[in-house]
Amino acid sequence: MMDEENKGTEEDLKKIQAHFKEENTKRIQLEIELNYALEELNISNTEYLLAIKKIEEYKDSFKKAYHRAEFYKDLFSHDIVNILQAILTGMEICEAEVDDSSEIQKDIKIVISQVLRGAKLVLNIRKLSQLEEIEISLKRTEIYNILLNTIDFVKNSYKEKKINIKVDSFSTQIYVQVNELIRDVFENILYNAIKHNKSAIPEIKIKISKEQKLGENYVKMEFQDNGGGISDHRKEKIFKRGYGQTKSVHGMGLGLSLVKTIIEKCKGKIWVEDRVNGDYSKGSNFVLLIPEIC
Amino acid sequence: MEKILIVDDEPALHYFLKRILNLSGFEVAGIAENGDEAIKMFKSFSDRPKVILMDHRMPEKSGIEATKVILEIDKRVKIIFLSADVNIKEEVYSIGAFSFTTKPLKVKYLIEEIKRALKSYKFSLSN
Repeated sequence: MMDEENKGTEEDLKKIQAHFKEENTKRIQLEIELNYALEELNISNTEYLLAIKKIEEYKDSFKKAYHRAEFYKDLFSHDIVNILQAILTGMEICEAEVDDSSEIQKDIKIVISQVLRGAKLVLNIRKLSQLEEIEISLKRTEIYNILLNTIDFVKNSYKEKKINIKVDSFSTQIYVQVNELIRDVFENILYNAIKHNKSAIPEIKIKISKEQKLGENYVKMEFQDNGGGISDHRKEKIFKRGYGQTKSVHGMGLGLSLVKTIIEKCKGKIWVEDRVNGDYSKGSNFVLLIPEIC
Repeated sequence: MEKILIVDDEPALHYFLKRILNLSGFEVAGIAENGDEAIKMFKSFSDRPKVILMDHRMPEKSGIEATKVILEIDKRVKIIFLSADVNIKEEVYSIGAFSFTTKPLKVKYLIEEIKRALKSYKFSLSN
């Protein structure tokens, strides 16, 4: 009886020992795996810390490069404008002193217009880069009178040229949610319509109406001109100066990309169509949709 | 002949502005190359200029800093800012300058602006 009992206990003990051995092997295996994992984790952690350090270094160098670029841009635009001012004033003195019938008079006028063009370009670069960095504040603005003032301003800049600009509007008090830069939008579109127009008398018709799109109320402004028009493959490109391109799309400068940026910041839309559907050579129709405010 | 003070750090502009002002019938009271010099000059005049053409970004003292001091000395003087720094426009008006014009500007506009400033100076004297 006792022998049988002892035998049973011995077997149990053996089973426990075997189980313990098996568990111990598992534990050792797990320990090995854990050590590997810890080692890998340690490597990953070091790599992670190194990567963080690198990112910080890159961030710092980008920040420095950005500030450097800002400094150069600011210095460049400020100093170049001062140089242009000196050239402009000097040329205007020459213009006043040279006989009106002289051939030089014509040359002086070309130099003056180029100086003003250069200045406008510098100004546009400044505005464009500022617009890309900040959110502009929008406010309720009456734009019908801003448009009329801009038309007068543009007409005054072309005193020697006869220009017809007609406005056909649903109202003379139009309130939209924009920024004061809306004047630049009108000015740029009008200048382009005159500058790139070979007709004897440039004609621009500005049609203003209301439009509803996707439940939103917009003021629709159409600037229709009798210029040379814009072919289909250039219709989108004219708004995209600067990104990956080194040349402007036939002298449009930065003006239209500035216009597009301003309009988009005002939550509006802009595109160009043919004035006469299907025949771009009859002139362009620049369409603006600006959110309306009652 | 009305006197005008030019404050600008660009030597080429000193020459051309002086010429254009003389051609237009004005007398250049002085040319200061920075804000500090402008203040000293303005204090030293026995017959002060009624109009100052003021640049902003200059060494020593900026146009805005100089304007604040000059207007404390004589608030009647009309200061016309001619600057390439478009973003200072609001501040320029808030400190009491007469007007702000972005460079480059055409001579015709400059002369019109000076005449407008002189008219405003005379009007403020009569009131």
